[in-house]
Amino acid sequence: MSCKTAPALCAFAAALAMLALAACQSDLHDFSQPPESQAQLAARRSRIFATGDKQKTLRAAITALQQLGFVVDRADFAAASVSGTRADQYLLRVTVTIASAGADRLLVRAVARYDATPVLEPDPYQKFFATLARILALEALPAD
Amino acid sequence: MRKQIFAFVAGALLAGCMPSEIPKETLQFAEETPARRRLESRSFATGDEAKLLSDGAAVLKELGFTVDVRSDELGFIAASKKGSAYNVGEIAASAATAVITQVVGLGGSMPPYSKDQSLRAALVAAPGDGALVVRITLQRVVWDTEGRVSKSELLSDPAPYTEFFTKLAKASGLEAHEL
Repeated sequence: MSCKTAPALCAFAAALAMLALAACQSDLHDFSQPPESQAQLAARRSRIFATGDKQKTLRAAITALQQLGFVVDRADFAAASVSGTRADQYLLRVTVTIASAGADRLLVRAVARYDATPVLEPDPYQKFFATLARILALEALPAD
Repeated sequence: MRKQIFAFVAGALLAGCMPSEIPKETLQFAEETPARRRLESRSFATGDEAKLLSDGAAVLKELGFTVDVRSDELGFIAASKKGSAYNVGEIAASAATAVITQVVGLGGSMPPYSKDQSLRAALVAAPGDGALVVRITLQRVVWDTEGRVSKSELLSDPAPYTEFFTKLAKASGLEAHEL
């Protein structure tokens, strides 16, 4: 049996394939070592710094982003948040938020996204926090 | 033959449904070079950060930018300037491709080409050694006719940086020192 002898079947198969492909989601995914739990992912994205100075820490976050090749495009002191995109990768965005974590302790959280896809890979976060720790001259402690 | 048809359909489905992976090189956060930092930075002998930010915002407006974000607490200004990215050569190449594909029977739609661009400026002022260091980063982002980002690059030509700092020095009445 060929398409000449069964044109209806061929047409049906082609239509089915087109419909299924059109409905198919082909989003980006980060396949790199997915964390075992949400808590593990949160720990990967967060560090504690022994300071209560939000302004100094946000300024240091801006400097860290610049040093890693990001163009900072948002900075909101009231919201304690800064973010930037990678200059050569407009789709890569890192957002840094800061919250109090007790007396003279700040929780710094970084979230990287490539387009709409969250980055799960640990290396970018480690690199960011190491750079931030160097600028602040403070140790980046694991978040509780 | 029926099996072959269904195998083809199944293969197409699997291939089409496989999600793409984030490019590994995208997640390599390399440190900036000292040359890049020198290009984008100047030191001004003042402690008045608010005034220097205001002067910076005024110079950006003079250069045709719109200030999108300003934070005096964080010494930060984000500004942008939109424009056309049409390039006659690129459009001609796209049209030629469409004609060739039409002739060989592969359809005749024009491939996307550059349409809009935005020049983004990020200005950061920070204290350093009894002075204020102003750093401005200029980035060009281009969108194609299908609305996708086709190019994103930092400006490496020293001319726009020099022009900005020359105007900022004049507006602030201070000398701009290279780092």
